[in-house]
Amino acid sequence: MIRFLLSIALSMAAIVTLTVTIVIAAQADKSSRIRFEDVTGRSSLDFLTDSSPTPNKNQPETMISGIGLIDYDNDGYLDIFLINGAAIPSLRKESPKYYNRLFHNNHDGTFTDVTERAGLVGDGYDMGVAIGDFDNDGWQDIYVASVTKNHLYRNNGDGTFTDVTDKAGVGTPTYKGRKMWSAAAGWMDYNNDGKLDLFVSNYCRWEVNKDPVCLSGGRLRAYCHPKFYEPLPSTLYRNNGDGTFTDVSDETGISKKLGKGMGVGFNDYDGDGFIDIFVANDNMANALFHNLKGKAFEEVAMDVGVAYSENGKAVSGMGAEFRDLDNDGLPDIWHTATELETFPLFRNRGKGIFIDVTGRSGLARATLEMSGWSNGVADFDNDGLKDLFVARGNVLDNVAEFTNRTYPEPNSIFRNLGKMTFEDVTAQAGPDMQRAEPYRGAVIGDLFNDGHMDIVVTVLNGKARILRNVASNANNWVTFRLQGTKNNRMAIGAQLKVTTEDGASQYDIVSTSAGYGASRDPLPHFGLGRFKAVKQLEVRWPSGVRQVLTDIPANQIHQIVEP
Amino acid sequence: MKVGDQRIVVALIFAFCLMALPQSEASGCRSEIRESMAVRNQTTDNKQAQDANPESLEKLVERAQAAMDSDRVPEAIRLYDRVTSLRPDWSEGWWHLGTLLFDAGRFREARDAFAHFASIERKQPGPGFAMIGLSEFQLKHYARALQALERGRKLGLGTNPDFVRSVLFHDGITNALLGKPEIALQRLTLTANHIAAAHPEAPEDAVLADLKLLDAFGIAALRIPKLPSDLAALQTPVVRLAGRAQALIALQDRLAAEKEFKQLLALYPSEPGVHYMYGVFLLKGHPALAIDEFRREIEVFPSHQAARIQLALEFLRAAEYEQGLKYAREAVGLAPENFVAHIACGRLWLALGKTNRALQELRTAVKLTPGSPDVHFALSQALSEAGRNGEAARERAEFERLKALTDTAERQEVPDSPC
Repeated sequence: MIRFLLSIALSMAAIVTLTVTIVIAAQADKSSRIRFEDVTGRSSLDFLTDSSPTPNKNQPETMISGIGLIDYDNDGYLDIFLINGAAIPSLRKESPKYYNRLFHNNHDGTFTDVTERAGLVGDGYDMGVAIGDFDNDGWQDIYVASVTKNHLYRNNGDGTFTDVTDKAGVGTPTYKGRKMWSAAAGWMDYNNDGKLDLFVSNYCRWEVNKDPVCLSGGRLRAYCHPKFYEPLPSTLYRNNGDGTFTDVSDETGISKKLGKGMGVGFNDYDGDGFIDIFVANDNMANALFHNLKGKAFEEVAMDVGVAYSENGKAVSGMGAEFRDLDNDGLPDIWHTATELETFPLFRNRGKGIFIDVTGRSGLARATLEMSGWSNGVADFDNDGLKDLFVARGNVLDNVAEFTNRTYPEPNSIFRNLGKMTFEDVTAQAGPDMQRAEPYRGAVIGDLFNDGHMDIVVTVLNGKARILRNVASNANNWVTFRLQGTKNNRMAIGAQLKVTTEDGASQYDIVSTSAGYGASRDPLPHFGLGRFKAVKQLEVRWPSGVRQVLTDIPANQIHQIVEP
Repeated sequence: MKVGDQRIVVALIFAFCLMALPQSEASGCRSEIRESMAVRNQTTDNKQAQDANPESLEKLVERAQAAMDSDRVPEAIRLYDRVTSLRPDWSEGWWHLGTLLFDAGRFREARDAFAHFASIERKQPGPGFAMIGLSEFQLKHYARALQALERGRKLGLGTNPDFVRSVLFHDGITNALLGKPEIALQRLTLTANHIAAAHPEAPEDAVLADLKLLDAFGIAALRIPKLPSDLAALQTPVVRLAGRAQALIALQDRLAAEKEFKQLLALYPSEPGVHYMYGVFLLKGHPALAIDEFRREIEVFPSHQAARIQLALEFLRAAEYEQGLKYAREAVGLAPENFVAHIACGRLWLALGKTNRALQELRTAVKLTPGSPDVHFALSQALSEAGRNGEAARERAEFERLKALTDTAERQEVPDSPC
């Protein structure tokens, strides 16, 4: 599809009105089905996650997830970076089957493995990935969260990356003298100084082949419940702007809260202009770090109502999304969990309070039987409402031997029906959506620049898949590529408000952090339904500067430069 | 001082003997006591006791120990009684006195000796409370027994698996007797896990071979407020079969449990508690089928409050609030003292937007069970919904305080091996 780039460079106070003809189209096609097609076969994406499963049931074996969408060569198309495990007990990538892999998007639906040339094979037992341009040079960089040493790879702009971990000082988040097992990470600018800082979610204390012996069915060794492992604090690195980072976990209060951190989400839940941090914890209370004007954080999950599920229980928090789902301008929180827990949905009702709406949203009943890992939020049918996706699979590879559950599960899609209610539409989403696998990773982005949000999923000890969004309807869309000048180059943390002719508004944040160990398409995308233009776009840059654009045509990717 | 685990085990073994064995076999237990006495070490406190009254006390302690080692129980009791009257702050002396009295079947005096022990022992009072509980159990003071057993459990029972298992078993059967089958099942599940851990070669076989445990499981699962020893012969087959299913659930072998359930339902379709029990099992996997089973239970046993509570909570989870409220209100009507019924009712009213009614129910629940973290959490949500942020914050704080206590107790209960 032909792609239009409309570059709009504006001065600070300028409001430019684009003169376009507004054509009142038909009503949004509500009846259209969300459909996905597995295009992995013809894409040449050949990636197999290898977690080295052993009889000792080492905890990391069941948890590898990371997928990052990155336009590493700035050609306007998303490339795919996939995380992999390592041999056990060495925890080293002893052979190419353990390599992390970067696949270049050839713009024709195919991908080429460019890992070795890029210098991204990795060396340890990796978990998650975070994409961000930490040095504001216009080239997106990669951070890998790992059981072993974490890595920061700086994009050289020529198709290669340099491992700058040691210089940056972000390789070994440490607790009680030992490097922590990092499960996920994300980039954001917590102090609004224009430089991307790094948040790392750490899981639990663990040593290879020293897991407790946990028996299921009275006889079968299985992966242990998280309660058998000691929790860890998260880590926050402040970007010094010279290629180095400072661990500010203690001085900001981040390290006070112990958890078993997995998915991380960023948003400004109280609208004070500073990014807050949500961490989904596995069988411990979730954490919500409220940003105190870029100086410190206070952990408020219990106070605001997102620590526990609606019956006061900690669930197996996995992937997390922190975005506005009901178009009221207040970011909500949705995270996954395992079977019989449901996937909690917390609606932000303003004034710093969230209400658990899992039951009334329809998600409780729908997700009760599911084991979810990475998740994502996107408007898959471009009807103006963000839908939900979850990658599923039981935690235990031998679960079928002592229960009537299965290890593989199909992924699920929940269509947003409005008013914070959702419907499971997986059964109508095409035959490829019915395939059960032990899925772990999931990430959302527009791989084909056609305005339809696609999904990449990983399968534990199986083949990664590309699920192309083939929903066909008359709905329109718009995508924005924001470029910071004073703020960080990727505009991470910028808040967007899109208003259509009917006065309805939608909201989103620029954030790559999503799901569990995933890094999503950084470009904010909005479905517009019948509207062929955006009447008004308001951008609130992280620095607080507001920029307003009007009459922006639909079905294009628009570039917006910070004034 | 160090509480001798060996001695505790002996006391418990004896307790079992008294409960379960004829007199001739009980004497065999005493020989185990004698053997265990030989391995006791003198402790710092023992030394201190001697220093307090060097001549008479040292000799008394030696004589008391010798009497105990030789199984001259009446003499040992008399001597330890004198030692503890001379040195009332010597906790080990009280411990020995208590166990000797327990061995002699003098449970009232044993209880008092353990009470004294628990009042002065600073490092490990938990086993003392557990022994108070076991003494009260023998005295048939079940409410007091449960209180002491629970306190001992919360304070820590030490690391001896046999002792921990025995205390948990008694805790479980007492909870079942006193109408707390859910807690009973938790304790009995831990008991089963301890047995499984002790028999790694065939954990399931070891658990299923323990008929007293199976009966206890069956009683709790079928919600029969009885002790295993009070079970009528006619009831034993259904209880034991139910117990097998429940034991397999405890071991997380749900496929095997399902087979037991099929048999149970085929043989006893009209037995009260069977459909309820199966419904609880189905909640983890087939909640829609679970609803059918709870409804069948109400047909069999029209005043079954727990089935109504389960239905209310299930409909709450499914956002079918009106349906859920119907059952919750019926449950409150049948069991106004049941705090879970009030929680369910309160949460359903809240979901329906009737905040004041929700607050009313949840405040009743708090009054009924102020020590439950769940009820404070539910109340905090209702208060938050009502915009009463100060009160909501106080309830949250109470929830967190109680949850921390519960979590600590649960961590102590986690067995070493199976999960």
